[in-house]
Amino acid sequence: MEASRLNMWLKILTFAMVFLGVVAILLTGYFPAPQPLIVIPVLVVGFFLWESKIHSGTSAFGSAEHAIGPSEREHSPGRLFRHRAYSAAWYILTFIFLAWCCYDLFSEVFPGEDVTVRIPMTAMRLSIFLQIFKVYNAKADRDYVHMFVLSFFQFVSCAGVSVELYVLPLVLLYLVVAMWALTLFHFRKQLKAPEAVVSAPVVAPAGKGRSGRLLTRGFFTGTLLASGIVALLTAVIFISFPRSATSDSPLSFQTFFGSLGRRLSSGLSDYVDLNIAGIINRDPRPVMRVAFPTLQNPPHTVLWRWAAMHRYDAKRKRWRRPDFSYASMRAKPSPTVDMPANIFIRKSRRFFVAASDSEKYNSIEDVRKDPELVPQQYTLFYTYSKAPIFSAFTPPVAVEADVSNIAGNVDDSYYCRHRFGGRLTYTVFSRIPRWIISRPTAPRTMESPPDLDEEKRRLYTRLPRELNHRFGELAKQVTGGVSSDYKKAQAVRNYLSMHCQYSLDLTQRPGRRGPLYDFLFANKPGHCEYFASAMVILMRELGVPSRLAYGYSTGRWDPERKTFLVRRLDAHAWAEVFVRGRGWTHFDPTPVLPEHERPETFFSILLTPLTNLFRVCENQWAEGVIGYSRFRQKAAFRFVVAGGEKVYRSIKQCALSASFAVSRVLGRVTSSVLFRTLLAVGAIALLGALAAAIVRLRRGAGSRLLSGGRQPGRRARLRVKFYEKMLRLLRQRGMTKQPADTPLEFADRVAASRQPLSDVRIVTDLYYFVRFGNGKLTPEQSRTIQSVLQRLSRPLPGESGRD
Amino acid sequence: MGGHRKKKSRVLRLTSWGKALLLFSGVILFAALTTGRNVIYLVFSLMVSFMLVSSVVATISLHRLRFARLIPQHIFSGRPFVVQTTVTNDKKLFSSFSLMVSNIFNQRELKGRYVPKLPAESSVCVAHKYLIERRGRHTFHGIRVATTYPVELFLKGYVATQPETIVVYPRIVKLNLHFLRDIISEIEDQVNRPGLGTDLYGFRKYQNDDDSRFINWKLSAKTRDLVVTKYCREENLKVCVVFDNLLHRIDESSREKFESAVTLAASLCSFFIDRGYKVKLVSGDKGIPYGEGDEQLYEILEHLALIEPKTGEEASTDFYSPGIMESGIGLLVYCEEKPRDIGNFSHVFDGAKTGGM
Repeated sequence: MEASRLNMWLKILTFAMVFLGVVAILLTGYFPAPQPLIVIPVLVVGFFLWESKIHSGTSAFGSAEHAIGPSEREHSPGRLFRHRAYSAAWYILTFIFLAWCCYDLFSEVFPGEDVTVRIPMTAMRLSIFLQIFKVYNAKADRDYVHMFVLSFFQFVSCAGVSVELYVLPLVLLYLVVAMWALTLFHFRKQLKAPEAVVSAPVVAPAGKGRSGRLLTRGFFTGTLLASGIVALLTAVIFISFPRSATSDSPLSFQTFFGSLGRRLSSGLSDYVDLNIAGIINRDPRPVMRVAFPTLQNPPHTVLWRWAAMHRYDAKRKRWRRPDFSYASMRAKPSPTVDMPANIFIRKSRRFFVAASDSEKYNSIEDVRKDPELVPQQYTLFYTYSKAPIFSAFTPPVAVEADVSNIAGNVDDSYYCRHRFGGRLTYTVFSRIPRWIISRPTAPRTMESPPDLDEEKRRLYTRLPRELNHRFGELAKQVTGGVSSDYKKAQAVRNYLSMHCQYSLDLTQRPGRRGPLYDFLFANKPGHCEYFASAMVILMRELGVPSRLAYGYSTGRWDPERKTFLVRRLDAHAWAEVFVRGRGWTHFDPTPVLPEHERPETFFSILLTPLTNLFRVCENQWAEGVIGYSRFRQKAAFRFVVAGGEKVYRSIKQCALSASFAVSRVLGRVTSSVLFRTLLAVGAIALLGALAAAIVRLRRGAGSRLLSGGRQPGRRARLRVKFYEKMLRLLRQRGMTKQPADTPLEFADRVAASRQPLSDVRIVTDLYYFVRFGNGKLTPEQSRTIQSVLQRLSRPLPGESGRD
Repeated sequence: MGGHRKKKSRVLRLTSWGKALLLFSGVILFAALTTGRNVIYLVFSLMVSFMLVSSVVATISLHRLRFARLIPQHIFSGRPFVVQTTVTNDKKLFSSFSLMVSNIFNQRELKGRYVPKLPAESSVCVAHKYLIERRGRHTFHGIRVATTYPVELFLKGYVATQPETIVVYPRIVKLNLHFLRDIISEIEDQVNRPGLGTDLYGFRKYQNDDDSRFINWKLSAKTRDLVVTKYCREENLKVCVVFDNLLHRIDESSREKFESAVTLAASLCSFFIDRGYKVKLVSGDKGIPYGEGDEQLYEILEHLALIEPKTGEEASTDFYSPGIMESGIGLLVYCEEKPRDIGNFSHVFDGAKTGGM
């Protein structure tokens, strides 16, 4: 019975492990929809067939639990599964699959695609096939081991290529299931050994109800508890294990391994390359948190701008930023590019203001009073030596930050020098379009921004020579009949949003005419960089200055902290068009709606609390686990050390204060006669208490120590309490045990005196058994003692009552 | 014999699974260090903590165990016996799982028994069946308990010291009755002689030196002649087994002969004591006086269990003196060479030849 239960549970848990491993692989996103729909049913069928292959008919332990049966291989009754042709067919199938995997690995790689992506993909696919192979060919115990190892390999692969939140519950669930399954497998293996004592008689004390059965609720609970401890310990090791580096600061030898299984990454870059293909990895690692301290309601859509690209290289299909000209308040401006507008002037230790507005704002108070400027508090989680200064929609006007200087570039992007890898917090003041924020603002008092000078206009309307004429034709066609630049930009944006396809999986190689041509005219899909690039090119075809701005889209609203959490997967590109009278205006042609703008459905409203909770968890996961770096580790240790020091100082301070107060009180009191009297009384009382304690100790718990172990301890005295009770009852009847009497002599004397008291001998024997035999009473013996004591407490026949 | 939980030496060994997991952890750590992926760090932490918790769980499983061993009082060489080991889990809350309990015998671990589960505050008694081929003094040094629970990554255990010395008696073989028939009849002839006992021996005519107290007057009246009643001897059946442990040289072959002779001597003693005879054993410089019953047998067997061969110089030949048999039948068992002067011994056995009867 026990054996069959063990086998049943082992089977269930083994398959749970297999399913979890396969699900972890399938959730990585490498396998499109039809593949899980094939794999899962195949495994389910395998689950039911498993019974008829490895366990059916006979128990692993033979007919009786004592007997150890022959090996399972000999017992496999299924004819089909034992047939040689069946095994041979599977081996042939495996060979074919392996050959196909090799062909797939080496044949479909095209230039531009990361070969390291395909290696883990092939390995995962192979692991799923092998798992199925094992499910359908399990014959002996070693197949269990193979399945365990394969499922673990699948989890490791999943951990290597995925950073999504689902990994966490899967890992925890896998841990629990693995603990159960491995423990049961251990039992199964051990119980099959010839020396196994399967049903050895277990003797438990009375009333304890201990079960000698193996698979009890307590066993599963205990294993669950152990899994919980493993999870806690994992967290501790994860936090404290020294980090040599992170993927953000790769070492030289990390290049290959770091890129193994990694897909095209998202995030900030110094160029935008449209000539690559592959799957864009939606990396959930956090970049920053942003709060709007003065706004009651956060804006629905925000574009966190950092920089802009101005030049499109048609040969390399790549956007480039302007030549970097680092300028600052301290550094001498670059002689080639004279752009005072991009210099931030330091007004005070933490306050910087753009050169163009330096005369208007002399202090931070002036900036705060201006209703046009909306403050945004940024917390960058991880910075390079040059930390970017973000701002919402438009370039920053003023910055409040604890940095030495801030420098800018012609594309209105700004940096500050900062410690590599550390956190950076700053507040940016910028102008946000009024329609974005819901609060009413004062009428705009600023004069319109100046028009672009000729040099800049040339810079932002330049087109590559190799550009196909169809771009110009399309631009004119889309904007036909529209006169103003703003409306032209709107028309182009609307056209792109409506007629072009959006996708993050660009698996097709770009054509000869370039990715933008394919995107606009060959109906090939593209992501935000394609949309923004197309819009900039079309606007330039119309002679309107434009550039490709990039940064991050809105991100995720964290209802708990009232902040936006911006992650790498929020990286975004859009177009900035210079409109006369308005200046640089952003246009986002990408049709994908941010989460905030998606229409609310009945279910979405119903699930809002759950969704919020999930988002909080996801944020914590991204921030605490995926984004955990050695700098955060240092910060955590510093926090712990600082906390410890603080506690130590507090305790020390308290102790000092208390000792000071006591000494002050004592100083006053000791001089009085009353105190001396009390001191004497106290000393006497203390001595008395000490003497009483010694006496008690000799009688009680410490007597064993004091008397060299001859006296019974407290436990022993408790155990023979029944004997003391009997002596008391007998004393009430006038029969007192003399000090010279041994218990047996006394019992004989009592029994001889009155016949009905012969039971005293029984109790005395049990007293010897417990006291000197170190024995434990059985329930039967306890009942006997109780009945004797009850009889003793009642008057004996012939006795009218107590004397 | 009493329970205790004193631990002497601990055992900690990585199993093959443990080695594999350790190796794989190293690989995962390398992957984590090279890629900097926190999820891989997480998997590595999981593996390390899994190993640590496994070790702790195994330690808890082995904690507060008490052992008691029950060995039979009389153990014979070549005859299987059962040693009962009682394991008590004194923990209040936790059960102990997957215990392998074995005995350390003469510094060597014997095959153990597996106990899958021992609930808290419970005991289990496991029986080990052993067979010892060599007589003599042996020691059960301790009880070894080990576990690979929960997932067979480590083998953890310890040896609870509980030295217990046992004396293994010589092998007792079944003697051939046909072979011993002459001896038995001789012994019984010797006993069935007239004496001053109480059992009737016979009647005969009165002779001059007969004691008048033994005249059977009733029978004399009937036969009209003086007839006296004769009684048997008062003495019991006495056998004195003399074991000559003299060897000229001690080598492997002579040792084998010696063991065979010991077996024969022990078997003879056992045979005669079982038949109610009084048996005396004389060997080397020690003699066990006449006695009967099981106590006498075990005393003789213990002596034979511990007897060692002696070489020519140190050997004592006192047992060849005539008075040593004290009116019993003398049986001599020798190992190597038949003594020239066999004295009053009625039967002489070559232990090397007849040991395996």
